[in-house]
Amino acid sequence: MKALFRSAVLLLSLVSAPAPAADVYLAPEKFLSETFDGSVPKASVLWIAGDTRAAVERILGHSAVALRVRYWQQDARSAWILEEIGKTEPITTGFVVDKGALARVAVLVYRESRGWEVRYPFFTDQFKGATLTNMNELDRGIDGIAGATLSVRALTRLARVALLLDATSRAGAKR
Amino acid sequence: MNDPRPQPLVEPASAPHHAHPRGTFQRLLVWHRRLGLAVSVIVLLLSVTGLLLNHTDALKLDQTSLRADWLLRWYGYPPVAAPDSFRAGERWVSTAGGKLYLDQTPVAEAGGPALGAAQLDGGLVAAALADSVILLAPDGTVVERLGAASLPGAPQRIGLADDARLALGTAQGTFVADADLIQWQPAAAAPAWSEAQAAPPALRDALAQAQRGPGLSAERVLLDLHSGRLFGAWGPWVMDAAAIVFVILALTGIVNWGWRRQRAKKMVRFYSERRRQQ
Repeated sequence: MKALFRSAVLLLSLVSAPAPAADVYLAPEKFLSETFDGSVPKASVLWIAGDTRAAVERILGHSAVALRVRYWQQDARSAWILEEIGKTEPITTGFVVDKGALARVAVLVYRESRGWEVRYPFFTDQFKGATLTNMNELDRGIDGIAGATLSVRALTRLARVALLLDATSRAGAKR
Repeated sequence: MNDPRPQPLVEPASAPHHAHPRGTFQRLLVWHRRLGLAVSVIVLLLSVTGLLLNHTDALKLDQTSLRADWLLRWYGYPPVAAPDSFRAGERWVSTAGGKLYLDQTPVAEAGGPALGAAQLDGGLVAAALADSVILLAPDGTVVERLGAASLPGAPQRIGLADDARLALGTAQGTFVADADLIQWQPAAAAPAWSEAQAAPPALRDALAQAQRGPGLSAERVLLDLHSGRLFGAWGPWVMDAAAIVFVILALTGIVNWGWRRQRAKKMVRFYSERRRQQ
């Protein structure tokens, strides 16, 4: 019975436990400041609706979590801060898109218990220069990391979403 | 003169006696009955739970959640108090079990407890958490999650300014959002802050249940009932003892059947012999 009680208490503690401590690798404000050399432009919002929403949901493999997303744009350079769950917790990632190609990917806040290796440049640098194909795929393969498969997949999905949203925002601006 | 009527099959004094002493046989029968009666409840319990467990998938026992208060208490779940709720117009915002609730509907993940909520024009609801503000459409859809980069500081309080614009209290001061909820300006006057209020009983109960988590699966409770673990440390020992009694009952039953059969054969042989002699 002790074991039973112990399991019950463990179960309860798991259920009621607060979210795991978040590791902030780079504060979102600092990411924006670095991206725009200290002069962060005013935020804009992009409503995710219609075809864009369908495309985002196809990339993510689940329903998009928000109706609108915020971004920061200066000339042809835009910054996006997006979140996607790796295994159980959201990974907050910053993306800089310059003229339709990824210029920077930075893991800002990591909450999962494993897979944090995706924060390192040896992984994130693979995205530099990546663009989106007509099928909303990256134009290159991204090498995985053993033990961080879910985080790698989450970041890859987010990179595609960032490129798609950037293209959508630029298309909207042209209209 | 012989009586033509059928004679009852009673054992006459001259009938052959069983090889075993009569007292031992009687005592064995008595104990067989007593033990049978004693474990009859356990036999019923094991049969019913065993039958149910054999059809776990069909009965969806593993997906059936039991949340009865007394059962959760028995399993050591401590009682939980309903979390704080905040009134936003006609809506209620709360957090329970890691989720943000709009009324009784979970609408988003929440890393921590809600700090307050406010209803804006158009029915939009803004809920403040420790690290973000979540904007919700009237149907509960997440419009946007405003993180650190979109806020003037970590939220401490949320409310409405005089002109019904969203106000946010942070360590850096009080700020008011523009109509599109994109830019923040320092507040000119003190807003009306959202405060925790006593939620309606139905909502309180629902949140307390959510706080407790998914409860216990019926399969688990039945397994514990079947093995005796539900009854504490002695439960499995009682079930072990019952199993030993089942073995004894089976053996004494076989012995009893054997003795009776042997005795019946001897009786038949004895009466046949007697009829032949008459």
